[in-house]
Amino acid sequence: MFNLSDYLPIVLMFIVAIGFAAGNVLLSQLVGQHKATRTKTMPYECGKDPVGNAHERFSVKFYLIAMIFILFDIELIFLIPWAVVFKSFATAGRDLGTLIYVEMMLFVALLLVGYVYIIRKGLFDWGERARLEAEAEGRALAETEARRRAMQAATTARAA
Amino acid sequence: MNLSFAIPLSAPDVNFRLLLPELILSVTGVVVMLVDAFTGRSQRRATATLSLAGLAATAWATLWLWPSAQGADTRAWGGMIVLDPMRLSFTLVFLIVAALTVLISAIWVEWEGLPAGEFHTLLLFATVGMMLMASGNDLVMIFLGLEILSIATYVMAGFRKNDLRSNESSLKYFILGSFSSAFLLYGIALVYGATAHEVSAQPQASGALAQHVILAGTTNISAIAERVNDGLYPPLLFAGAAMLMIGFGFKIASAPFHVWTPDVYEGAPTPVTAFMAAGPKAAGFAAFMRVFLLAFPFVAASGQMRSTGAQLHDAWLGALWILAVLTMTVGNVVALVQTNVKRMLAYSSIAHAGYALVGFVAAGAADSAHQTDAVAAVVFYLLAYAVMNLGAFAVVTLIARSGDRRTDIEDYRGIGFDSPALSLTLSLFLLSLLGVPLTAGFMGKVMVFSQALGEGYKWLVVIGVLNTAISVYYYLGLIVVMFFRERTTEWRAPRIPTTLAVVLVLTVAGVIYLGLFPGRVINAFRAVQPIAVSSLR
Amino acid sequence: MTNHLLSIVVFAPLAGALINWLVGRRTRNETLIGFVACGAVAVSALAAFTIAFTGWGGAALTGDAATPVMSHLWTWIQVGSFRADFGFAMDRLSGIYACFVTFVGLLIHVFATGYMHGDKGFYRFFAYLNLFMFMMLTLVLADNLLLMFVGWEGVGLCSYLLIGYYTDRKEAGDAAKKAFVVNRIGDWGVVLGIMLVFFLTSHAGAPSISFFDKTAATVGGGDGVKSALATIGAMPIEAFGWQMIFAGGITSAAVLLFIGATGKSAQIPLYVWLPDAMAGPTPVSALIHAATMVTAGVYMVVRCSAIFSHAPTALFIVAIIGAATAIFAASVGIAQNDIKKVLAYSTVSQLGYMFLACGVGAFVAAIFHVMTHAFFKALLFLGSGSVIHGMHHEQDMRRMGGLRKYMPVTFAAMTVGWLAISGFPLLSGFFSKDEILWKTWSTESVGTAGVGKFLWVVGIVTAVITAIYMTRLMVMTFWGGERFRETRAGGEADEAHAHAYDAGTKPHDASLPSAGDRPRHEPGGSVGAPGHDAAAGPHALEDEDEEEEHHGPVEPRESPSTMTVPLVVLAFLSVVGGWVGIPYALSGGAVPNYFERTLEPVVARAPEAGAANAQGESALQRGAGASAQPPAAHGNEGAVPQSVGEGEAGGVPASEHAPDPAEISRERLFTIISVVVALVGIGVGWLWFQRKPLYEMPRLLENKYYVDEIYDAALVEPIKTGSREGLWRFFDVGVIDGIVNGMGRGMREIGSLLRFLQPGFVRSYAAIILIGALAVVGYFAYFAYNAVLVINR
Repeated sequence: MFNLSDYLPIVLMFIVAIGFAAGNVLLSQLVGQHKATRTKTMPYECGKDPVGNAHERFSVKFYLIAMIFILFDIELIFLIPWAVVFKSFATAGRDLGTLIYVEMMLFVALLLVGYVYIIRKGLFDWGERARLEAEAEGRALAETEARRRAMQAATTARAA
Repeated sequence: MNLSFAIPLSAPDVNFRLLLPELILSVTGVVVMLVDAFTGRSQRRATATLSLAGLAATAWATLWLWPSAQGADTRAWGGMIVLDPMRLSFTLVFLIVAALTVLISAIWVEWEGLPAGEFHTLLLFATVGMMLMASGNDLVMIFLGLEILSIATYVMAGFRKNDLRSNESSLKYFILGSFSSAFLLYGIALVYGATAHEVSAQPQASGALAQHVILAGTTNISAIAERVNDGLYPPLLFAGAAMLMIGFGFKIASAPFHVWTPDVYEGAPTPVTAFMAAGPKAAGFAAFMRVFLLAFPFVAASGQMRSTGAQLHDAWLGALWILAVLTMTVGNVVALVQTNVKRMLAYSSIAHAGYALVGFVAAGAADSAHQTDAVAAVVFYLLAYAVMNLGAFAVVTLIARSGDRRTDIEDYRGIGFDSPALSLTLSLFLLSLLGVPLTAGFMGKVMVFSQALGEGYKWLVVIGVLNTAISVYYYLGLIVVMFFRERTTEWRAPRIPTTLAVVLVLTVAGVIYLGLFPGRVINAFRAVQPIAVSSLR
Repeated sequence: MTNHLLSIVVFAPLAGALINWLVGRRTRNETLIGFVACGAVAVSALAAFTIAFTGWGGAALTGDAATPVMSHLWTWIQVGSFRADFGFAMDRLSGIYACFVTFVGLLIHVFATGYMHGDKGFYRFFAYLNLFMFMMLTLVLADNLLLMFVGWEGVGLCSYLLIGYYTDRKEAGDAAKKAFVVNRIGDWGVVLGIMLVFFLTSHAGAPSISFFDKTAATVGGGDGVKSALATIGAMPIEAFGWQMIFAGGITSAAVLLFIGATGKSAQIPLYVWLPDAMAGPTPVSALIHAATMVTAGVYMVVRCSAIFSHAPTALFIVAIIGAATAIFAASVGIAQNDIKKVLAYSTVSQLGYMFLACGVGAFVAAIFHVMTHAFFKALLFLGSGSVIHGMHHEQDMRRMGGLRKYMPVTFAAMTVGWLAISGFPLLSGFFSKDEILWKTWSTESVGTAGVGKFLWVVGIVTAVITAIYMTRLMVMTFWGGERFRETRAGGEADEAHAHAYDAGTKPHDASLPSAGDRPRHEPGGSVGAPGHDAAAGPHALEDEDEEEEHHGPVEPRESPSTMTVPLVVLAFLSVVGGWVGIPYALSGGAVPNYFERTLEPVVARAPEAGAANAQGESALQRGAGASAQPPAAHGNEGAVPQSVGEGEAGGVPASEHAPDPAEISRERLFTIISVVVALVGIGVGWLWFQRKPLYEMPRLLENKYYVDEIYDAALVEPIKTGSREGLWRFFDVGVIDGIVNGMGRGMREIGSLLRFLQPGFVRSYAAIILIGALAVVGYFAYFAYNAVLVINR
């Protein structure tokens, strides 16, 4: 017996997921500044040069990020079965709602602690040099932009 | 759709009291982690102090639980956690090992400029893992504990990032450890399958699947014991038990699953080696003994036929006997030809696992009244081994200096009279490892061997004693090298830092105390009631 | 009564030793170390005197003789009926010992702070010295035989450590080893003796090794203990005869204990270690090898007087050995040129006197001589130390002479010591030695009654020789030409001794520079010639080559006050120390014999030959008395000995009885003989050596009768050869090593093979694990097959 309405939640989930992704892209397009640097205009390859020697050594950071990602991913998946059975435990007969809720909050708190820890440990800090490079690039960009503006202004002035 | 709800969900019997030691230590681990993250490197003393405080609090909780271990309410969390003297005594061993490791590593961390906080965090989590292995009454719980322990230990083995030997050690340990974990997991799965029995499904809705009957196994140790004889797939049970034995055999480094040990122990930083040889090995024994003694107990033969349970018991006991003999012999014989102290001690640790296995065999053969004595003897042996081994490694750490440079036996030539404190304590530990009377090692051997004799394992004891005789050669050899050989290398007597001095004092006192007054300890380790399978839930 | 102050007496030096070892080693501050060491002993001495004399402390010496001051700490061993407590007790005997040990010890400690100044092992020295005090006091104050034996071994250990204190000198190490080994020979006697005592008391129904009766109250609950000595004292006296030695009775126990005493107190045949022990620093020689430790044997014999008095055979042996040792050692002492060796043999000789006294049953006289000897011998040793110090570690008297004007205080003090040991009237040695000689002559003890006169002759000859060699020592050192100015490379001094020494082979060959005691400091550092002071200060720890240079002509100099003050105090004691024990015959009752009155109740009396004349003889035996109470007031006379602890219930002590007037006049005659003998000895010595200070002594004497050589040839070499050829070369190397090495080699071969399984590749490891896994699974599969068969059936 196939009942389409049974699958409504799935459809809802798809919509929310697509909406979240699209919404984020749109939002950043609308709100963010737009400075097209050379790096940014490159094709997206997870931060690697798309063209170059295949034997190049990766930074270990990639693996770390990947690992952390999977870790958090898997841990978060744990939330789903919890959510599924939560209600049946929280019913009057068992009355374990508070306990189970607190336990899950603890779990999330632990995740948070882990997250704070990796931030403090500098996992997302891609290094002084990278930061300096990016800053230098930004400055250079700003200069060329300024020069372009100035030239533009000059040409318009000349035109005028 | 109905399938997932077919097994009735029972409310978990929540009991934080029973889990208190583990909880305290986990919280400590998290706190240490945060302190490390927020204070930076300058605070390495803070994390060490915190760790020690946490370990002390855990020890307090363990001792607090001790009186109730004999009581009635000893299972909780759906039968996953158990409280009995075996768990608590093992827990105490782990805590002692962890605390001594913190002290030993203090100087090492300083020499090498390593992140102390991380090390302490890993150590604490490894200890939690070990404790879960001892307290788990469920194969899944035990596996979880084992993995918590293993992953932390893999990292610790490779903790000296810039040293190739350390990297090698870590990687080898990781690869082979995963290999053995797979065996263990496979064993658990097989046992689960083998113990499957029929569960009549509760029809969710009237109609469709009302007559459907599903099969469900169990991973609960007590439940396995109940089903040994009436499981649906007996051959699978044997395969599962074999796999479990392989997995645990790897953890306790019994021959022929010991091959990883020498390389890993030699390459790992010395304090980590000390920890690995004492802690995880004991944890392996805790889980190994619980699973095999309680899940596959001796079942009396009914009539002429030997039941599946009896056959299984025969199988693992026989296999264990062989493992014990192999382990003792391989460990001692290969230790003879070693030229590196850490490697020699690694083989010695293999040999000691063999001696402890002798006690395990005795426990396996004993009836429930004597089993508790045999188990207590094994725990005592492991405690004694932990103390003397950590002491020996503490000295080795100090002599090795930063970078583990001086670990060859040649480096010990003639240091005896230049560093009398160090070489005399090391000699004491070596003598204890050898099993000279009045030391802890002697008492441990006496207890284990006497239990085996009591169960009629004459030949096992004979082989054990012969092995002890073999071990005289290399233990005394090192002492001879220290005191009666001319020094050929440059040697400057190291200053003994306070933390290490504390370790040495504690371990020396422990070796002598356990050697002279073992009664109190062994009595505390013994269960008043037999570890009874009859008290199953 | 119980007084835990006793523990302080014993443990204060231990605390000092620990502090010096733990703290002193780090600070290396001589003031601190010296203060701690001396302070610890001072505390100990103060506590000892408090207990001994004040009512608050328990008045061990002046109070009731039957109740010693006890301090039961814990029950040490309790196995079956065997019980040994860790407890201390001070009765009159141990009280006297504790007082003079702590007091003399304190003086020597003070002296040593000066003597050892600048030594590298200053802290070590004082830690050992304090440890020694602890052990000695444990020995003396122990309330049972086993704890006493702990102290006995402990002093042996400390003696070993201190003799070998100069670790860089081979002869010091050898001497230490010799002392240790020889003492071990004696120790088996003590151990067996203790066991035999226990068996004897067990047989009598009161198993015990305790010296005292201990009630439940004193031991803090539980059962009390009956004194082993009282138990044995109540037994019948054993017969006199050689067979008794091996009968396993009281005589055997006494002989076994005495074997231990010959070791510790350096009697024939185990005396050989003591002269060599002079390789230790001089304060050690004074404290351990003259005043205290070596008298431990005497203490034990007197403590066990109840045992010895029941064993006439043992007493006979004790007397003979004592007398023989006395004359033998004295004759050797006369020919020695090393100043400390002379004193060493003198000590052996004087110890012989003490045992002679014990042997004839005059236990009180023995202890009296122990005490006076402690004073004057410590004085002489410290004086010699001062001389050696002033002479920059020269010990050969042939290179001294004329020192009296350089070292006036030392000279004066040593003069007192010289006269005291020679038996000059009214000095301490005079009273004690005279007492021993008189008791020897008049002995009525079963064992020695027949030989008393002969032993007296031996004693009197020894006294003459003693006076002669002491005079020789004084003359060679303090009078005559200043021989130290003569150069080493020639001259009279070197020629004089060259004949006797195979150059360089004798440990104390005077042709070698500074053969003896030599603290590790620059000789000029503190006490040397004035010219050296300025230069030496910064180089206080220069190596020895520097030191050698000073062995040319040297300028002797008086020692600092830390060294001379103890000398003066000891000199004073050497003069007045004897006045506490003036016999009735001399004082006529005007001065009571305090010493005898104190000790008499706590020692047993030797059995007397004739029970018939019990009244008169026993009164004589008890020596002089003061009042004229009738002897009949005392019940236990004659052959029944008075056992330890019984005391004189309610009466006046035994020594307070007037003896027969004839006896008094005879004793006076003998006193005069003693005085004459002393004066003759001194006179002969003076006339002889004043003229020829370097008179060449008979080689037999100078070489100590070749006893060391005989021992070497007869005992040491055969044992060495036997061990080397038989035990080591054949048994050890051939048999044991053969088996062990054979096995070891085989095992190593197997090990090497197995090592091939350990190539270091993860893949091969995984393969091995897999093979193992397959084997395990296969093993299980076999059983699984069986199980399936069963199920299917």
